[in-house]
Amino acid sequence: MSLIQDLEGVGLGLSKGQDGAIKAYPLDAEEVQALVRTCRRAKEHVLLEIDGLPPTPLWAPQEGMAFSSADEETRVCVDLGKMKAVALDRESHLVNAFAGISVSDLEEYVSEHGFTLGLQDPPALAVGAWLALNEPGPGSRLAFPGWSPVAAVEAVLLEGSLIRTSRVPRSATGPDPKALLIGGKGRLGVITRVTLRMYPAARGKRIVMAFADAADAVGAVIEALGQDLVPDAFGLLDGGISESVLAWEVRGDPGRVARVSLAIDEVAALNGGRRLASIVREPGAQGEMLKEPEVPGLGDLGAAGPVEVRAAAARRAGRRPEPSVAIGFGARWSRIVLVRRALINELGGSVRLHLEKALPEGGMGIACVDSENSPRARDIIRQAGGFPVGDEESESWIEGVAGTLLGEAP
Amino acid sequence: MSAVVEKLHSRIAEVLGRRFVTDDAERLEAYSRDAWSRVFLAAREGCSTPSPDLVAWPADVEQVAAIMGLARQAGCPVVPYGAGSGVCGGTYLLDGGLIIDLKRIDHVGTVDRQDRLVEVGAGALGEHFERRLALQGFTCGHFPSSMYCSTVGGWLAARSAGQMSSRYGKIEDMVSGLTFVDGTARIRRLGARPRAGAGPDLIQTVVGSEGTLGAVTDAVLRVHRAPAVRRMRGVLMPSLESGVEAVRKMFQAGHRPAVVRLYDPLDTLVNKGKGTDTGGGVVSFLRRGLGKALPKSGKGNKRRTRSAIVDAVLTRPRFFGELLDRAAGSCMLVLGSEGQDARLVDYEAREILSISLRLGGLDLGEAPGEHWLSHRYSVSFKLTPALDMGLFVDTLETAATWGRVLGLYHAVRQAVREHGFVMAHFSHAYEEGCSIYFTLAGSAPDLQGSEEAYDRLWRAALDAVVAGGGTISHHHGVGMSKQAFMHKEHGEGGMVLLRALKKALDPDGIMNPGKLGLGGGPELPGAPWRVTRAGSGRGGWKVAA
Ligand SMILES: Cc1cc2nc3c(=O)[nH]c(=O)nc-3n(C[C@H](O)[C@H](O)[C@H](O)COP(=O)(O)OP(=O)(O)OC[C@H]3O[C@@H](n4cnc5c(N)ncnc54)[C@H](O)[C@@H]3O)c2cc1C
Repeated sequence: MSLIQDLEGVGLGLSKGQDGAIKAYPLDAEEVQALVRTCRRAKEHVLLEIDGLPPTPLWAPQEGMAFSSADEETRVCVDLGKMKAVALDRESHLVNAFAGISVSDLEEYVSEHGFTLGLQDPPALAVGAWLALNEPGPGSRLAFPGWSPVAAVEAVLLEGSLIRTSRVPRSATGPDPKALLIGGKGRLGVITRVTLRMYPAARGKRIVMAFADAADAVGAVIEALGQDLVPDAFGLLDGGISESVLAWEVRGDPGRVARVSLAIDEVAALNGGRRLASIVREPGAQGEMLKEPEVPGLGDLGAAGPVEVRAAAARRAGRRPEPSVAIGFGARWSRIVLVRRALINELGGSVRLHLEKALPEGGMGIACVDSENSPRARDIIRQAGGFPVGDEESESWIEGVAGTLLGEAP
Repeated sequence: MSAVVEKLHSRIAEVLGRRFVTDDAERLEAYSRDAWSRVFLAAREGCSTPSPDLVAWPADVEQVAAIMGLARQAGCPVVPYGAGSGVCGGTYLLDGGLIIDLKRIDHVGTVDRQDRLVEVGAGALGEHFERRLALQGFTCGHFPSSMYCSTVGGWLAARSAGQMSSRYGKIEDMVSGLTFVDGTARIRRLGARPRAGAGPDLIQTVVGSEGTLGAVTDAVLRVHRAPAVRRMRGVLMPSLESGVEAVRKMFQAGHRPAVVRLYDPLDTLVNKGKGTDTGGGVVSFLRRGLGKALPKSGKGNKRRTRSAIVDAVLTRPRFFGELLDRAAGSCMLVLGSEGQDARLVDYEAREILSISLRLGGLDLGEAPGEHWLSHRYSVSFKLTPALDMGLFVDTLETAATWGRVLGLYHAVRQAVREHGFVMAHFSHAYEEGCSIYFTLAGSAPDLQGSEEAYDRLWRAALDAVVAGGGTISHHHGVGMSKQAFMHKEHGEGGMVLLRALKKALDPDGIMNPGKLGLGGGPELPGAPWRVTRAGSGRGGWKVAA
């Protein structure tokens, strides 16, 4: 019997794509489990594909040695489009969703019920794939330790068993299995359902400040975080030779918002900041932190992200804008300014940084450089003490676990 | 000593120097138990528990890796050891092996003031660590009751929670980076970088592993400026339900008070409304509180009468529990806010107080909060008198979402009441739920009876926890004592994943065998050995791969 017949045998909705790949439309975790188990038992080498994620081989590494050519693999594309149901737990502020719904649709759903996921920019990606990639990651406050957006995950492991992490606020029952699945790029299994934390949608305040020097802006961030003033959303756009702009948003209890905003203003002023605007943010309002058309005085910066800012700067200097590349990176606060300086010294003044997250010990964001400079820029970031995204040791570790799982009998 | 042990001993001595490895029987005996209550029962009767074959004290990560490499070659089980304050039997070596005590790795670095990070050795004792931070004007914010007798490595290994976790987080929230040596003796350095949205968080797969994947040698922890302002408060809530509702409302409104402790009616009664933690306090209560109700008689008579009362209460726990419930009513809620900016701290303190008052609370002013603060470490060390009286006292900490927390509380009490005395407080709150900390006590006339009663009580309690949607541990860990419940906590798939992780990092299974349900070891609760006087030095190690 062929694999497709086997899959039909377990009652899965299937179709055959023109490219020869099998498409499967499971309705729930049990069907995903049946699919994975059937593929694992198959006498062929199956490559599992899920929208947005790299393909995952379903055979043990040692078995793979015997095969050399990719066309000996059977591609099975799992379409989770039928798995979109959502349930709210209002009392505990949790939302339980099947993995096929997009993060933006989920945000829309919870906002209809007076809540928000609290993400800076909910993507159109399916929530399961979003967690598997762990990119672009949660918004600022949620990126703080203890504020993780994910309460629980359900997944079908490559070896065929179903894992449901317990839906308790915290536990001390060994390593956290969620930590392997979130950001695991699907290498260990298919995420089928997630439980995310949600927050009452509340008004907020966004303060936008200008600093003559990026180092002063970073200094203000360090001081604010040192006083435990945690932003709900954050953005720092490096203006190069012109001003750098810092945006700091706080939401929630109005009394707290007023006091935190005041404290932020004071910290910024002490670090040479100048307030450009203070904007009331309606409940549920999203959007990028520095694309704030109403803010007077932002000029080029106001309407644009770093790529556009570079282009505008080049035009002003009478040059043709170069194609840009954005390199994701993180650096401790004490290194951010060093990373910036090193990039500018080595690659010239057209480099721009855009930090999108403030974490306790550092910022995360992107460095915008000419595309031909991209590999060098990664080296420079590393040498200056930053961490280009993708530099993690995680790959080999996850491969080790995947290898063990695939070694298990289905 | 067997030839295998002897050989390993001398090879470790070559690496560390002779002073830093021992097979001295007395010292091995000292490492033969942690603070698991069940084993104290046997110790009370003068019975020993299986000892390790060797104890070593390495000075740095390279030495740890070197001796772990030697242990691996010899097929010798290895247990990383902090201060032995774990309460779940996490450090036992049932078939002998090597204990690696990390207390020589106890450096505390200079705080990086910009990034607010500090490097600390896994063997640093909690109180020393916090004192070194205080000298620099910082705090870690981690204050377990075992502050004086636990290490940073032990905290990380068991996912510890301090008394101010509601503001500062649990230890897993504080760790930015760590260095550990895995079961293959490979040194791994993780994190110490800002991360969000950048691959899996491997630190969280090491934290909580209780020595089953490797030994943590160093950590980079997040720290905070020492608080400039602190406001403590006590509120008497009319019922447990109103108290839980108040705490839920506080956290869901976005407040993060450092201290939130809600004592159930019985715990409030035992405390006489003072806002102290009980644990051992339950003994004083049973002895003094009930004893006082008796007519005065001769000194010896009085002691005997008190023991008789304790016996009476603990042999008819359901009857007396219900009686006490009738006498008990309101619940003490202790609150504390702290931080840098007085305006923010005062605002939070006012808001959380007014939430409590709106739900019928009675403001008791600062005194109960201050009283709790000044007594917060004293109570946990009262176990000895309990043992002397022939009792066992233990604690069970669970957590659940708000929708389940009260049901869980009642279910556990109901289940335990058949077997012993139980009271609880609620602490460590989050937006979606909180933890419940039960104090359990029981007694039996002899060792065997005590051990059986202890096991029955725990089994009943953990069954109720699992059925009620709680976790089998919020912050004490699993060790040996709860490992039979690991598959109920994580399910079959969860255990498959955890075992795969174990195999990837400790392929020979030498690291802390028989813990966390990851291989080897007996199905508990209940110790695998009845009572043993077996000497150490078996040396014929065979670990589950
Ligand atoms: C009186 C008292 C009060 C307590 N109060 C609290 C409390 O408020 N909050 C709380 O969370 N806990 C509390 N505990 C429990 C205990 O203190 C914690 O579990 C603590 O984290 C254990 O630390 P330790 O250094 O003593 O570890 P140990 O008991 O030595 O070891 C515990 C486990 O961790 C492993 N381990 C230890 N060090 C390392 C390392 N460096 N690398 C890898 N694995 C390691 C061991 O192998 C073992 O499995 C209390 C205990 C007592 C006795």
